[in-house]
Amino acid sequence: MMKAKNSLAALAAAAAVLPGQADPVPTDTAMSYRFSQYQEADIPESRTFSDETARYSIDVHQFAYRRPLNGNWYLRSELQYETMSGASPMQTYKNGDGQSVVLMSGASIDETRIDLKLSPKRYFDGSGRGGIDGTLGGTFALSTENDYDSIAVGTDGSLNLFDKHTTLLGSVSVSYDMLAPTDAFLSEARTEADGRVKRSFSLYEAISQVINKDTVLQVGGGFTRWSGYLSDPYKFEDRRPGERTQYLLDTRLRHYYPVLAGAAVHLDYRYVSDSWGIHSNTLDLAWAQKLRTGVVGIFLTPSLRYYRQTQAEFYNINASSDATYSSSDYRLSSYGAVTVGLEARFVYRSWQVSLDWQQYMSSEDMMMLQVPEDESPALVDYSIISLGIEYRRE
Amino acid sequence: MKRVSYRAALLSLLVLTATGCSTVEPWERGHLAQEVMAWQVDPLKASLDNHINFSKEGTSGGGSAAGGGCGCN
Repeated sequence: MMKAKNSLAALAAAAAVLPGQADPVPTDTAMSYRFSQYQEADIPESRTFSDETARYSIDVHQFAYRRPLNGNWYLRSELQYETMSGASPMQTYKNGDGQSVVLMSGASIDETRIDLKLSPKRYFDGSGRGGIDGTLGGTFALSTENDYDSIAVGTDGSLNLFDKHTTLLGSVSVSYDMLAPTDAFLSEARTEADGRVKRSFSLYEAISQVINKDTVLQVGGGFTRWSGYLSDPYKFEDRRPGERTQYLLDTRLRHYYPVLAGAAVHLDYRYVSDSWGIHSNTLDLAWAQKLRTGVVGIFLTPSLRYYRQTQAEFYNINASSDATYSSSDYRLSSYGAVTVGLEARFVYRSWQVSLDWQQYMSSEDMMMLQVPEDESPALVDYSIISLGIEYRRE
Repeated sequence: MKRVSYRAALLSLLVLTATGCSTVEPWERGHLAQEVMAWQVDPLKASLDNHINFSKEGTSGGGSAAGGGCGCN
């Protein structure tokens, strides 16, 4: 609960549409809608304290609109509306037989969330005239739900160098989140959290380099610091430090292959280390394949993602009331996860239809190395099915 | 100590990148301009995938500065 989220990431990153290319002011106007159904697998009955085994089911509606503004400005916007229902883990522990057990929230939770992002960007094309060649943009993001509100603002920029072989990228953002737990009178933790705030400051810098006519590489590093109330008031015995600092290194590679109408391998890697003792590695691999049948362009992208993390120093399957800091949140445990996915897009003139499927599976054994002795019974498996449509005109 | 190793790794990557690059003229950038080479093929998909990973995993970020939060279970 109350999990930090990178709500500016998508719009900021979407600004750099194609690697190794100049940043001309986009001239297209486009409207998009995407519906996704997110479904978590049930907790095994043998692992629950009560009869409640169903976890979250979420419907997500996304709307996007982008268009040129006056001069060299361009605006991107996104609205996301989610409705969710189901139960969530409140605590884990080992029973008298040494078996791990999950205590789920009893009643089904019904909630909605609205997320709005606006991102204007100014394009500078001073190449060949000794001027600046790049972009400068800003982002405003607002997320609201019945027990949590968040406001974030950020700015990002890019600078093309060496005949556009090299691009420097940078972004910075701050956020201010406010907590108002539902039924705050039910527990001391909820009462304590009511009205508390969480702040963040985040910085990311990267360099993108054209390696040759088929390959481009980006390497970046980031720093994020959260402070304030970082615990989860809906979980039992959840007390986390009031500060968290995270360092990040990531790299992205794109390499073109002349297969059929064109293909590319996408290879992304990310390493994260934080002050709570969590270290994670993420590897994303995808193959983007273009096909052409008559007037319809078809894009197929199968993907594979592997994620592993070590546990936070204060994580314990038996969260303790004696320890200063304690949590049995599975997201702070040691585990690994694999996501397999397939996306298909069909493009006909100004219209585009997309279908996407993903399956996420996680377990302690998927860590492969440093596998913990204790189970983390609340680890989640989920699937997502999405259908999107976009209309675009120049 | 860890910061030193991060810097060393980053520097090594930059050196390898710089020494392995070749000049690519504008008219040779057809492949780089292909849609299959995009950093993000579908921004809405990337936005939702990021949101779900941030909600369900212990670490997050990459590609840009982080933003605000959500009360996601």
